[in-house]
Amino acid sequence: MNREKRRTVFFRTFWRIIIALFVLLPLLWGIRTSLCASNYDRSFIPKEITLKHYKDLLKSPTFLPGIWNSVKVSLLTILILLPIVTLASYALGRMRFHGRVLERILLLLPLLPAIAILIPLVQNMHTLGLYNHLMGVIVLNVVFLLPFTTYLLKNFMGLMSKSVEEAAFVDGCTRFSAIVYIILPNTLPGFASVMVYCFINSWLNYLYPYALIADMNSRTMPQILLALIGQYGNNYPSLTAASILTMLPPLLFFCIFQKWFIAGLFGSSMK
Amino acid sequence: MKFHMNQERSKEKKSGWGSKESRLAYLFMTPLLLCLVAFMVVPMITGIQISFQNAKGDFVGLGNYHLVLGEPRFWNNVRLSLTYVVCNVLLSIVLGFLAANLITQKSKMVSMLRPLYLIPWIIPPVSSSILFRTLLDANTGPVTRLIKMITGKNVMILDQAKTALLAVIFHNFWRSFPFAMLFLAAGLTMISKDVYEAAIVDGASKVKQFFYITLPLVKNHLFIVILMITNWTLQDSESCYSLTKGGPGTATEMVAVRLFKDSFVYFEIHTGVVIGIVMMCISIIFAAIYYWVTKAKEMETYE
Repeated sequence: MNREKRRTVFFRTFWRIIIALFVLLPLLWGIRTSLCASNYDRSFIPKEITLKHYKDLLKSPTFLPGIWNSVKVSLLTILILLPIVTLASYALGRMRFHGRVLERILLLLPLLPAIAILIPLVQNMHTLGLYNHLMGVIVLNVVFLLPFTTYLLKNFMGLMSKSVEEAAFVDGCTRFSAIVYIILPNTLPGFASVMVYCFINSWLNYLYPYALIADMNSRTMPQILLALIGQYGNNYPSLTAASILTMLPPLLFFCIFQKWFIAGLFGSSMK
Repeated sequence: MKFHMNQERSKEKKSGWGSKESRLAYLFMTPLLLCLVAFMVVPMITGIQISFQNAKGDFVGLGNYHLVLGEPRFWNNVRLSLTYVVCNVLLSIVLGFLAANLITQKSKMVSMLRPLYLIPWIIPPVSSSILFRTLLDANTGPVTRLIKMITGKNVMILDQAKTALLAVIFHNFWRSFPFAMLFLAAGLTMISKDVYEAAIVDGASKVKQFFYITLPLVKNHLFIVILMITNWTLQDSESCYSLTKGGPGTATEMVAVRLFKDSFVYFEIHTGVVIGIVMMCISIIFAAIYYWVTKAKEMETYE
């Protein structure tokens, strides 16, 4: 029994390492390439290690504004989305009303492809005067993230028992102050996972900015990166340096909130 | 994506339009519904309207549909989409399911590995496609060099139709596999240990345990994750376009990529809209299946 147990442990560890390698190898190779001085360095560990490509990127006139635009888009998306989602998920999770069917529809909406209605949407944005404007991208992000985040937060809201809130109502608390003082502090993990989900998804998306923004100065980071692929061609050290800088902010956000995020998405058993 | 069942609902008394609580609930829902109607429902209707017009805005009936559905390029797109979806779903689900068993244990190491495994899912598709381009480059990429070492041939992975398609599939597999793994692992942890112990007492083999216990009990999780990954792969234009731009030629041009190119690269709005509607219809079919399955699941828990 003991030998068998040790064999299982060994077997599991072996496969866990294989998967970790599978997941990390492209990243590690990317980091290695970004540190190479020359594009034609073929050795496993670069002969000459340099941070030149990172420095060049940070100095270039498009890069930092691009990061800043992406930060603005992601943060404003969260800021606009949260109040709408809070109200809707409170209603769905904690109130009695006929519109419960809506919950089901909300669950289905993320399955519909945003790209399929993007042409008419861009035309609408033209009419609203949001074309070539970061606000347009933010609005699209908010709209397409709404259904899933509402569903996510509703699950957290539904978990809390009704008695605390009812006691507060007896003491003369209004619905609104109940949300602010009772629900909010108790569903912080839910808010955290909604925020991470929004940040990551609005950061990595280049579809909406590509469709909406033509102005060079208001392009977001992934969009700039896509343009760099054509521009730099096979200059891998610069390309990988840019791609690593682009993935850092969502990674950072994810690292800080990963426990809540994973629990929110997959259930607390995966924490 | 937990599926909490609202147990209180069955006890709940139906409250009508008139009650104060229900009016307030509708008020709370209004901002969300307004957003969805203005930016999802209205564009859908406008899209259908545009699809019946030509570039000058004249009504042409089903002309645009004839144009798109009649061309071989579109059916090639469809065929590629199917290959892409089937390969990606098979790879991610089968390997994800096997790997899920490795991350259900309760230990410090495992709980550190889970977020690590999820990394491919949260990095931008453009970033990951640059990483893959670096790996697959004809001169310096380690993968090509490995192939050369084994077979002695120089391969240009992203410049040949078949290998480019493989690369695109593998790239997406790398991105969606972690999600499938964690989602299925969450399903596996919901099975109580007692069931397995009882089976072992009865002398059931590992294979039998898998087919008679594990599989039926994670059936719902499995179904949902298959649908989600199918849909993501079907709609994915970003990770594919940034890796190959649909090329060489049209060798990796899936329906979503074609839609992206027609709409925002070549500005052929009217074929773009038609393809968008075709895609929307396919997704609605998937949504209907999803609705039906989750509903069936809910019925089970009430009975």
